[in-house]
Amino acid sequence: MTASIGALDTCARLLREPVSLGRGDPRVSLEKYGPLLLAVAVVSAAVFGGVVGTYRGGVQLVFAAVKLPLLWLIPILVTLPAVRALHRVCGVDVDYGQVALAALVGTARAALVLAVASPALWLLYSLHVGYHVAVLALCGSLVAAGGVGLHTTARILPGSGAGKAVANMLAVAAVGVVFAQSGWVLRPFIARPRAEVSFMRTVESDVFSSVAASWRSARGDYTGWDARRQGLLANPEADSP
Amino acid sequence: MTQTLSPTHGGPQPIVTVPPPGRQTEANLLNVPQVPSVSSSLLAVGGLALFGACTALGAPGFTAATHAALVPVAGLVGAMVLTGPALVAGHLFLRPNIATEVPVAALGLGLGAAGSVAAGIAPLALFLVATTGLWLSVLSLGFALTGLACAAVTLQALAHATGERPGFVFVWVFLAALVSIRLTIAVGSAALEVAP
Amino acid sequence: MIASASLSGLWLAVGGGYVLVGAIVALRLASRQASRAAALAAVACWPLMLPLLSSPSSAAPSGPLAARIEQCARELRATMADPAAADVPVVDDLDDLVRDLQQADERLGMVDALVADVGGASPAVAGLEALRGARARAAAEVEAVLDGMVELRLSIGLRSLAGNAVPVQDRLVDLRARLGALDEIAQFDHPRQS
Repeated sequence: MTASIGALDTCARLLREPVSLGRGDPRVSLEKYGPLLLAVAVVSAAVFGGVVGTYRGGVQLVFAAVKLPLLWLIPILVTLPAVRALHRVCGVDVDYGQVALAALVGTARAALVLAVASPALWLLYSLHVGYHVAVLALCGSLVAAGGVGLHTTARILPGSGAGKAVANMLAVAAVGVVFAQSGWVLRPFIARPRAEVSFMRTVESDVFSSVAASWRSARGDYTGWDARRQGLLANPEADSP
Repeated sequence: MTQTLSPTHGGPQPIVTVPPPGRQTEANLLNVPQVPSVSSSLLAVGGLALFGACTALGAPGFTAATHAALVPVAGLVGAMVLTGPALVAGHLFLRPNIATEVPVAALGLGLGAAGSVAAGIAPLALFLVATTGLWLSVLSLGFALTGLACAAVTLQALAHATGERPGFVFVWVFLAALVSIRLTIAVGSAALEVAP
Repeated sequence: MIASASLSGLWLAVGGGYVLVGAIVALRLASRQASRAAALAAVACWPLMLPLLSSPSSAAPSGPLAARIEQCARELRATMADPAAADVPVVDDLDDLVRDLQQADERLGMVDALVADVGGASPAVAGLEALRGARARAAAEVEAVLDGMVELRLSIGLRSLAGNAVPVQDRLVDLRARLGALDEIAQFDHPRQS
C-alpha cells in the first residue's frame, strides 16, 4: 500500500513538478527515487510498446513491449558520460549523479507521457492505416515524447546562459544520434502485415544511410540502397550467398 | 589585483596571475600559478587513448586499428607538445606581465578538457562502432569535438587568467589545428588507406 | 573486423560483460547499505546507479552527534513508514532536515578539532572562549532539534490512537527553521569582515 502511494506520488510529481525530484543531494534522490523512476519508465514504455505491437498483433505485441523500454534506456546509459563531459567543458559544473538523476527523471517523464497518450495511437492503428502512416505516427510520438524528456532533463540540470545552451544542444545531438541508431538496431517495432515476425533483424548498415536513401527516393531518385552488414556486432558471413 | 582562473575539470588548482604593470605588489608576485599535475595530464591522455581504442575496434585489420587508435593521442598531444612552446614564448614576448606558468597551466586545462570529453564520448563511440560501419566518421567527429573542447577551454582559461583579449592566441590555435591535422593524417594514413 | 567471433558469441560476450559489471556494482551497493531496490536496479542499469557508490550517506560519521542524528532519522523514518501511520504524507522535508543536521554536525566537528588544536598550543589565545561558547550554543540547538524529532515520533504514535491530525510537514519545516536560525546567530556572533 505504502509503495503504491509512493509510486502514485512520484508519478504525480513527475508530471506536475519534475524539477522537484532533482532537488537536494543527487545521490540521496537517486537512491530514493531512482528505482521507482526506472520502474515507471520501463512499465510505461512497455505499455506503449504493447500498443505499438497491436498494429501487427500476436507475438509482435510482446516483442515491441520488450524492446520499447530498451529504446528509451540505451540512449541515456550510453550518453551519460558524454553529457556530463560536454556540460563541464561548457562551464556548467555538474557531477555524474546530477546528470544521472536528471536523465532518469526526463526519461521516466517522457515514457509516462507516451503511455498516457498511447490510446490515441491505438485508435489510429485500429483504423487499419497504412504501414508508412503507422511508422510515421510512431516516429512522431517518439520524437514528441523525446522532446519532453530532453526539456525536462535540461531544466533539472544546473547552470544558465550560453554555456548551458551549447551544452544542451550538444547533448541533444548525442542522445538523438544514439536514440535513432538504437531504434534502427531494435527494429522492427511495427511489423509489415505480411512480413515474417522476428524479434530483431541482423545488424546491418545504419539509420543515417537509411534516411539518406529515403530522402533520395522522396526526390525521385530510386537508385536503391545497399544494406550491408556492418559494425562490430554484425555478422559479415551472413552477406555471403 | 589578482585574477583567479577557476578549475573547470577538477584536476588543476586555481591559477593566480600577477597583476598588470603599475599595479603589482610583492604579495601578488609571490602567487605562482600551479600547472596541472602529471597524474591529471596522464588521465587526460588515457581518455584520448580510450576513445581511440573504442573507435579502432571497427577498423578493418590490425594495422589500421592500431593507427586509428593512436590518432587522438598523437594528433592532439603531439600538436600541443609541438606548438605549446610557441604559446609560452608568445606570452613571454608579448605579455611580460603574465607569469610563465599561466599559458602552461592553460594548456594543461585544455588537455584535461579534451581528455574528459574523449573519455565521455568513448561509450557512445563504442556503441556506434558496434552497430554501424561508421568508425571513420565517429573517429573524425569525436576527434574534432575533443580538439574544439581543448581549444575553447585553453582560450577561455587564458582570457580569464590574463583579463585580456586572446589576440595572438587565435593565431596559435590556427597553427595548432594545422599541425594537429598534419599529424593525424601522418599517423592515420594506414587506417585511411584501407578504409572503405 | 578485429573481432572475428561469431555474431551470437559476441552478443553474448557484450551482454554477459554488461551484466557482470552490473552484478559487481549491485554487490558493492548492497555492502554499502544501499536500498535493495537500488541494488537490483544497478544490475540492469548500472551506469545510472554508479554515483551511489560514492554516496556521502555511507561515509563515516564526521561530527560528535553523527550517531544520534542517524538514529533519530532512522527511527522517525521507520515511524512514518509504519502501516499504522499510513495517512502520514510522504515528505521530502525529512531528508532536507537530516542534511542540515549533518552539515551542522560537521561544523561542530570542525570547531572541536580547531579548539583542540589551538587550545592545546596556546590556551590563552583571544577568541577561544567565544568559540567554545558558540560551539556549546550550536550543539544545544542541534540537540533540541533532535529532541523535536523524537517528539514528532510520539505525536505520530498518539495520532494513530487518538485520530487527530499531525502536521508532519509543518513540524519538520519548523525544525529546519530552527537550524537555520543557528546560522543567523553564528553570523551575528561573528560579523562578516569587510
